[in-house]
Amino acid sequence: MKVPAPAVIATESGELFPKQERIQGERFFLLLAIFIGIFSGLAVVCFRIAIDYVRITLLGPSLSPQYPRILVVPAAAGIVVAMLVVFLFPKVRGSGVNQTKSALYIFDGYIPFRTAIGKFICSGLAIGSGQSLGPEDPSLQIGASIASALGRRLRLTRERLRLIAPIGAAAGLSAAFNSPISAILFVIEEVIGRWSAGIFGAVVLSAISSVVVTRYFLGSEPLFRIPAVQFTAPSELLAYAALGIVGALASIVFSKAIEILRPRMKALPRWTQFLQPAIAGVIIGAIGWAGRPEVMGAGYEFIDQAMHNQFTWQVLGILAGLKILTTVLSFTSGTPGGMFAPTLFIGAMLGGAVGGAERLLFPHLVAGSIGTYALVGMGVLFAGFLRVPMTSVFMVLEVSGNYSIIVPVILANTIAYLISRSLQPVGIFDLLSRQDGLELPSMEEEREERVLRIEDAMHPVDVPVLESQSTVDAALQAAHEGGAKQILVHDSPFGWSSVETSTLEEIVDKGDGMRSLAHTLPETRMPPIYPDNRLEVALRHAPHWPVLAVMHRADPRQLVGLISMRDILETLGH
Amino acid sequence: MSTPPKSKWSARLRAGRARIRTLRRPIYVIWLSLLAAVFFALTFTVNRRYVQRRHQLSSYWFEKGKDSLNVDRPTEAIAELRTALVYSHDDPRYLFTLAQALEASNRISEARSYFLNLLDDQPGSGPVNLQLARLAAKENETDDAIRYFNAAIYGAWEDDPGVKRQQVRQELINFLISKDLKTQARGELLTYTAEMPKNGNSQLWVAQAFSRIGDDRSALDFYRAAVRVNRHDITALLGAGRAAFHQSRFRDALEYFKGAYDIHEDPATFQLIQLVTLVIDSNPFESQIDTKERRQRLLLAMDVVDHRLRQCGESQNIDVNTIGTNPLQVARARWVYLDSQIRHARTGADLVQLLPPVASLVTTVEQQDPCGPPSAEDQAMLRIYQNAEDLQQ
Repeated sequence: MKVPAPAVIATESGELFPKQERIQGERFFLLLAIFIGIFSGLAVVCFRIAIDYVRITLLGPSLSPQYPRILVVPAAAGIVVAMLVVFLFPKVRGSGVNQTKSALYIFDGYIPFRTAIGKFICSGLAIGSGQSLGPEDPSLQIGASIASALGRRLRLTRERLRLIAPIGAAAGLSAAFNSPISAILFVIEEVIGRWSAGIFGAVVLSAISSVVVTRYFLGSEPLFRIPAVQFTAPSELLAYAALGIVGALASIVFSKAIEILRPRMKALPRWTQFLQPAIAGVIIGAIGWAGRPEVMGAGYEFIDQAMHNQFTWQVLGILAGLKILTTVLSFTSGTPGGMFAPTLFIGAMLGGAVGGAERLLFPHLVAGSIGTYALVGMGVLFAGFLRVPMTSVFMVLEVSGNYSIIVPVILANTIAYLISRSLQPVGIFDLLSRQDGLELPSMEEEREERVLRIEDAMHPVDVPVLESQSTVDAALQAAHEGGAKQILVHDSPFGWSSVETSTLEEIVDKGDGMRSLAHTLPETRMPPIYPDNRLEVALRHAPHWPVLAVMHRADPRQLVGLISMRDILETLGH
Repeated sequence: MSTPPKSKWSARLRAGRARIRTLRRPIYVIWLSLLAAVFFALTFTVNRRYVQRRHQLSSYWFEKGKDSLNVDRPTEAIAELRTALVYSHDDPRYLFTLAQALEASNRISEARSYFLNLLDDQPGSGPVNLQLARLAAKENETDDAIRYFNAAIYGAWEDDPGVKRQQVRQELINFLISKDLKTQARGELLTYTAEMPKNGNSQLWVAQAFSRIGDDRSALDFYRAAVRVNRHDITALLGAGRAAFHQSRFRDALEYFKGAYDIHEDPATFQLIQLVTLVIDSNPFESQIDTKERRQRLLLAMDVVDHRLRQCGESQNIDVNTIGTNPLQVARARWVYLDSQIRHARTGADLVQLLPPVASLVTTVEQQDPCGPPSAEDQAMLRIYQNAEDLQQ
């Protein structure tokens, strides 16, 4: 019987032709990113609904919760959250950003799906009951967790599985924040740390698809209404610069408080872990009962009010201070929840307070509305506290939809970032990961690390350079005259190659000295290397060539230098 | 039946595996799509309930806030309406009512901020422009107020747009009159009259507005129209009487005042009748009176002026009988001269020639200040002689 030929031409491993397989794999990965975005968006919609339901059920539907709920609920919910965290979901403590980074750098993209469930329940209960935390970072982790689970279920390769967590993180954050650009930038700036074409497309697709899902269910309105913002007088930049300075100082107070209090709280006996969130809840409830319920929960409604001049500048200042206190208490007590919303809250209140005070003291300086200062203030805290300068600028622009304030935003954010960076060298996320005993790469430090390039290591051309049409005899003579162990050959139009002097001698000994050099060259040519390439590029190719030709970008036939493995090692300090 | 060799079986196996691998991704996509559909349906159900709950809560708090605002408890209304807005972020009705509550509790800048945000979303909204106009009017920002009033007039109104636009124009006219912008107010009034409903109330309102800007002729026309619609409208009758009186149409005025008095015997109306009667009886400009009567009327005016001069002299501590440069003393000198001229005039023509200088004297003396409250005679004389040119015509 004749055996039919297989319908698909397969390799021995059963795969299609490798290139075709790779292309299909990339397409599937992009499609998967869209699905991750959809799932994350749906999860975040449910998460936000859950938070609101918890709030309505536990604290009541009024904007200002009444006694005794305001005192009892945060404390009681704190105990429940603590028990859930200790017994069922120990990995859901904290914000979730570092856990996602850990998945990328340590656990090959592995985040247990249980973490998503735990984060959903514990953060929802904590935020809904009035703990001073936000839903964005948990959403980020829920998205990353869903992505990781999907990746494992679909048996993705290890390389893809590692990349999938940030894709889910971008989707989760984008859905929670309703701002895809800021979410993409944050994930690239803080989680991945580099612009990589391989992952960028997937991150964008997941972020966009999750935002589409969220907007379908929850509407396209931003989290808070943005007032008519304007920037007209250049002299007002002084006022914004002052806001940058104050914002930086507030950021330092905020992160120092967490830095000091968090390890002390963790060092307390284990039984206190059941009580820490409850104590934080009692204090927050007491503050709310004493007349400032604005500091409870995420507080987006009050950011909205701050941006519409509905508080005096003194009240705004008090709210900023109280929010720092309550967020530090909630966060350091181990309650799961995010710091994005509190950062925005503090920034908005502080911005409004600084703007209001400046208007009082220097009325000629402050021309814009106080709402504009609240908006810029949010960006300032983002830059100063979370240390994501790019995201901070784009976040304000994306949320406001107004590019006229780009100059004050950049100025204030840059000042806040620089002051905060110099007074508190370790950023909040790096600080938290180090406190947890994890040495995750610091994106901030990586950004500022000096990049070594080939021009830093190369040496001048010190070997004979010939065209491939030259004879072996001529090449050998040139090599002897120069005392070189090899010669460089330009084989137009294929590129550069090199030949050992000993090889040339062997050919001459065989009596083939009149042959052209082209016949003596190895099959492969040197990779194109330019002075501005990173040193790693040369390092990849150096083992295969005794020296590598460093070409001129404008004219590849022209050499600007040579680089060898020895040059590279010397530059790296070995 | 012969079995294929082992190598052929393994080739088939490999081919089968390859086929499965090829189909693996489409299967994953189908599986993911189904999962997404299930999850979507679940979220949709949860979200629908959530939206309903939010809707209930927002309606409840909105009604509560509206009730508080209606019973003049704006502070409570603000808290309640803000809660309503938590559940329905951008509902323009809630935002509008909250802004009204803020305005009611005198938080003008916050109210304005809300109204301006609403205006960004609905630039042609009549109610929002009207509220902004009222805020601007309250803050004495005349140009802004006029701009917003006009935007409200030409803006969109949901119910009875025609009536609403007329009401806004009325408000604009009232505002312009209060700011003493009579020319603009007159222009708006004329526009209003072109489109107003032809009922007594509207005619009366227009007549009163014309009176306030000093256009007694137009006022009289509209008072008359209002009286034609309702002959028993005392306000219209009194207004018509006053407008006619200011127009120096004393007999018409007397008729209107008497008409009003017949309906309601008000002492104030009776005083007006007395005044008009006195004016009619003391008017030297009447063409149908003889020389003797004209002289008597002029001498009556001179007596009233003499009395008023003395009253003014006493109140200002000036002896008007001595010759001097004080306006009262100058007036007294003119009085002496004119009194002599009246008494010695031989013909009616001589007396008619004296009418303008007497009118000038009466107007000067009766408008002197401070001389104490004018008597009915003083008022009558001033009314008669003030518009001497009109009367002569």
